[in-house]
Amino acid sequence: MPSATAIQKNVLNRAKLMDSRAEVHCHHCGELCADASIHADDKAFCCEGCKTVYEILRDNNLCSYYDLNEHAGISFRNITTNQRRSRFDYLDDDNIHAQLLEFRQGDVAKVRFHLPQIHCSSCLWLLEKLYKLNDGISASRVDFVQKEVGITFNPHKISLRGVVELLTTIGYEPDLRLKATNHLTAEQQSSAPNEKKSPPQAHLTSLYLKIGIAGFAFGNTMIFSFPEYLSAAGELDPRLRSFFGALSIALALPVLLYCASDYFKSSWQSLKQRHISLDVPIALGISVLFLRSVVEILMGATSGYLDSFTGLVFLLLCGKLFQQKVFDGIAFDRDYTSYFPIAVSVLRKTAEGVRETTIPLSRLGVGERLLVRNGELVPADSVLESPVGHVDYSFVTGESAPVEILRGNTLYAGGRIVGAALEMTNIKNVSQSYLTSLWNHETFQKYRKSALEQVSDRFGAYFTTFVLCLASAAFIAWMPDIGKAINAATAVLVIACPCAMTLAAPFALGWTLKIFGNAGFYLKNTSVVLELTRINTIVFDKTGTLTDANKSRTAFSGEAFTTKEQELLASALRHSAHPLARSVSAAMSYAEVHGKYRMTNYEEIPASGFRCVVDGVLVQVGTAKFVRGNLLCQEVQQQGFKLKGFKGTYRLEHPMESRIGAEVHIAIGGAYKGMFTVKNDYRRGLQSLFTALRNRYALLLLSGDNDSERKILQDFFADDRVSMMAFHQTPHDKLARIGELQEVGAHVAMVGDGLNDAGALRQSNVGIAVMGAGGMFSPACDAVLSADALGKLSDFMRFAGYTRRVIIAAFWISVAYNIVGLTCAVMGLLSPLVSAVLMPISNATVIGFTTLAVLLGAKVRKI
Amino acid sequence: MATEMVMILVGFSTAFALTFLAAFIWAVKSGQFKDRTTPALRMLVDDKE
Repeated sequence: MPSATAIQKNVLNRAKLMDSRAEVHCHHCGELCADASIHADDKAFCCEGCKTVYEILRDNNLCSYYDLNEHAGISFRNITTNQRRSRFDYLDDDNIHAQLLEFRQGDVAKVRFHLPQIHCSSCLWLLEKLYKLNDGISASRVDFVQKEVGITFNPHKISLRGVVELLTTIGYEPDLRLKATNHLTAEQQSSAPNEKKSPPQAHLTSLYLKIGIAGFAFGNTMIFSFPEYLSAAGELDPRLRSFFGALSIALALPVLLYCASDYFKSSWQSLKQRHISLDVPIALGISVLFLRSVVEILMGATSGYLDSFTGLVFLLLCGKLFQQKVFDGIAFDRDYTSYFPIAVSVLRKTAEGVRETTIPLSRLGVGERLLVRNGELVPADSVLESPVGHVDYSFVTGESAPVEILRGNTLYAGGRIVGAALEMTNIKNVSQSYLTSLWNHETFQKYRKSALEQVSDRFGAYFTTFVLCLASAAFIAWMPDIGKAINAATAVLVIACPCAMTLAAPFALGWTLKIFGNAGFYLKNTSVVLELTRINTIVFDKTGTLTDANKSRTAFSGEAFTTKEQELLASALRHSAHPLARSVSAAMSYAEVHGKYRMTNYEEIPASGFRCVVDGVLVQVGTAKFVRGNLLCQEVQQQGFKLKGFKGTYRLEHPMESRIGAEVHIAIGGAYKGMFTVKNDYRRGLQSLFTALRNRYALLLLSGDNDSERKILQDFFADDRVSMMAFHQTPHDKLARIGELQEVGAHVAMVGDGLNDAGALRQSNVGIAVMGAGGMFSPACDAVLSADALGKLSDFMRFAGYTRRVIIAAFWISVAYNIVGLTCAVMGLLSPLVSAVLMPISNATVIGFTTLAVLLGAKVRKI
Repeated sequence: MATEMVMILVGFSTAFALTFLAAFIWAVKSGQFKDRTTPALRMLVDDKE
């Protein structure tokens, strides 16, 4: 007799089984199937695309694909078939062939594709079995880490286009992005670093070779020097000594000519441009050491210092490798893994019709239907689905006149929508590195190099001159004793090490960038860290920055809408990206309006509202003044503001008005309907943030709304001496305010939302765009701050100061090392051997110190 | 005599060591250090047939 609990368990298990049976997962990609209607060989599929792939694999005996990893496939659900046709027409073009093919001769052609979909061992297995799917393909080789496949094929049996289409049919569409956008300007190309970007390892190959050869020479010359070191003077057979000497020179020559060639090349380059780079003293030290050794060996005086020479080159190269690896690590992370918290609106078909949802950019797949609003950027190359649209490519090409695009044309990533919102289907994956490069475009570089960087740059010239003078001085001082004179002069040249000073800043800043990125604070580049340390005033925007647009309470007062009016309003609201419009739009429970009405004459006036014609009816949404043409009584208030470091008192005038909440007024067909009042929820952690900020910065709130929330904000901006609030500020006003502040000596950080505050973000010394779930990317800012991390802003700014102190400390360490080393060298106390060992050690010390100090500092400060 | 012996032996050993250097150069040039992940995975998914 089974016990009651056992029976219960049994029943539960069975219920679970039924549940899992009810949920059918696609055999190919593992996505949940809507029903089991699509199936083959009693296996269910979520869509026809997945089924087709399964059938292809089955017919070619490749079903091990599914044995290696369950549901290994790439989903086809979001890719419609008509999209996949004729899309690769351009691949038949000969010019494109020349660009894509790595090699072509007779029956053999080789091509490399980047396949971002590669994710598991099944992918590897299938992609290396391509020859089974088409006999034109002779071999394919996968590089799993780089997500690349190298394919060798016979161009007479299968065209390049055929290869791409084959890959696309089985779900691995190659990323041909930059080749495809070649017809955009050359400027854009140069700003797109992932264009045939050599993987980090490629440039390391020659470095590995150089290290190997230098290490080999180092070890062997060391052994050849032993007899000399171990025997008493004159005891060694002179024939043996010259034999070892000759061998050492033979081993050292390739080290000089090949391993150290980079130092000579770059010194020569810099000298040609009448500029002394930091490689000059290194090249000088190396050649002096080599020449001196060769002369001594040939004269039979000593066995030379070729062991220290090869050792020096070996250690220098090792240092270079380490530096390269760390740097690649930082840069790689930044380009590929640290997705900014940017979101995009996607239209998806559900049971009730088309629904708009917001998803993070990192999860955007190919073939999604996107809704991009006025002022927002096109996140990935897409095909326009709306009848007509206007795009401003100024972020990409510098040309700001909007371009008209018709349905079916391609919109390129980085274009900014002007006017009505557009629907589009993206045909490419989002390229994070492309967005990063766009961000770093020179149009948006606002400051010249910071003081620290300027010092670093000029440093090389001064340092080299100084070292040369010192070496000659030492030579002259020891002059009667020529041996000692040469010894001292060469020791000076070898031990002088400027590298440490130049390494400190890039490493410390690189690590800081990485730490900030992990915590949700994405900086445009390293100079922003230094700029942050100079900030003394922070300007905040309210709506969408301090408040959370997703958590607002909306109330409507006015006459009730008819269903038609509601639909018209909902259609109109879809087009605006303003946080208030988004709040109202989210609050309206409206019927399905997607594509129901034709909308024309969309016009958005910053800080006022927007108007458009939907289905022949004029819809106006915005402030009271904008919609009704009148503004309630206003009195003007004046505030003063003074801060240490300011040249004078900063005065600000702004209108006062007491109302209940942020208002969105509505007029439909010219008749005033009423208004929505939007009450915002403030983001968490603001109280402690402002308490922390108050002690160190002047704070200013510039809000476009009325001052209904002054009471709440009073807590944040409590201290009258260093903080104030201004309301009714248009984007233009905000920009002007920041300019005024800068005139009285403020270094301003603007914290605002990326879209509506773009001008102010650009004008400020550091523009920080706060991105919540609905944030869109604007290249005008210097930093992107994830809304969750807003509370940590004060910590970030403190940490930037800490990083600066670390760099300065590293500078002093390096200076101290040089003073001690050079003093010993001038006094003739150091042999070139000792100097050769000390130089790389000082490099390692500085890199190690900055890395440890920054990482530990971040840990202690819990960033 | 000992000197000649040492010179010959050192010559041989250096030549021998050079072959290893050549092997290293070949290995780097043929890309064996380029991708160290894929071959490990490839081994696991080899065909059963």
